[in-house]
Amino acid sequence: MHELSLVAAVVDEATRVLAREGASRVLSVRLLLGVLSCADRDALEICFPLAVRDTALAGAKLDVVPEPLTLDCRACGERGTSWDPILVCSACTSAAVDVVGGRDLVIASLEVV
Amino acid sequence: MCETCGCGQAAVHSHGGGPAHVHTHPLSPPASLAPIELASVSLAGSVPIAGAAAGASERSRHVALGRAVLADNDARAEANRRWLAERGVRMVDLISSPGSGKTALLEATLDALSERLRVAVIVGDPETDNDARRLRGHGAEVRQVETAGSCHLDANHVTRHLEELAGDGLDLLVVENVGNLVCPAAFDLGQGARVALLSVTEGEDKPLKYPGLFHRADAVVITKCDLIPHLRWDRDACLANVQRVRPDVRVFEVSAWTGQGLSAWVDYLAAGGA
Repeated sequence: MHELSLVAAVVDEATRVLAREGASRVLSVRLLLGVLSCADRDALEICFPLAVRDTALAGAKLDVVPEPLTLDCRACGERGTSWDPILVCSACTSAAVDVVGGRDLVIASLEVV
Repeated sequence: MCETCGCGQAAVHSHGGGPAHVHTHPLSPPASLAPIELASVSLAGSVPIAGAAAGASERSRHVALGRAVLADNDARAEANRRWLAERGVRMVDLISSPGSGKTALLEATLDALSERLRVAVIVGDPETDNDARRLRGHGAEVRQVETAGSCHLDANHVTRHLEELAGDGLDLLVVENVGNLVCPAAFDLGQGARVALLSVTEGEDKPLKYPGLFHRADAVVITKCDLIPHLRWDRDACLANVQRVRPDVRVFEVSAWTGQGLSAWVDYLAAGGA
């Protein structure tokens, strides 16, 4: 249950973005939740309202968008996606794959005003 | 739907009870929605905002970021990594569920390690310094981090102890992370190697249940192997499951009680997981 730390980091970053953008409030936050991100959607949604209280994100909407694993196969060159955290090429079943997406929790965008 | 914010609605709309939500990218709202929603914009969107100018600045806009939520922690971890590299200190992060034998494994290996190297340990637990007390007396400096309920160590926890533990020269820093198979995996500490421990009583499918950790592991240690005669332990299935989430990872099979497999593990740790 480290999601409170995660949403606190979102608040820190959003606060910096507001200053940089000359904006004053965040209306919504869009997060990409990678299959291998070690974060839980429900826990993020529970923690978010607590973390944004008394900040420039107060009242902001949270959109959590699940992101599949994206694998590049070194054997056949195929790029594939998977909702299972199994590191195997979906085309040739080789295990020689590089994870190029779905590993992290990412702040995709902020809506600011 | 709006491709930018993904909210599934038209260009001008408000979210339930929240402030008005106006897109500045060009999309036409359905005619049936537009009058109502535009009215709500002029009301809800006019909530006074400290320091904000009226008019155009009230219109919301989307800022694309694509930034990892833990980027700050990652930067701190990278600073730790550089600090350690400049001083020739290797760092290994041990992660497992509570009770899988991290402390027992360290107790069994610190004596052998500290004969060869200057070793220090940072051990994290939500409460108590029991583990630090167990680990003292084995030739290594030990620092307990009580996380006050938090489920993981982060890069700052390590930074706070670096100068004191490694400033006067150190070869190996071992971090015994908070017992947890999920959260610690997400936090880079600046380690050279991350090691996942899995005890034979936990079941062969742990790597599939907790792929976030096992995928990030540079080595996997299967502990408590002396218990195998008392269990229905399917070694091949466990190894296959490890391979499915982390192909070609190095696996050690050990028992801290009997000493099985410990010399290879000690050599690996002494090399800082190289």
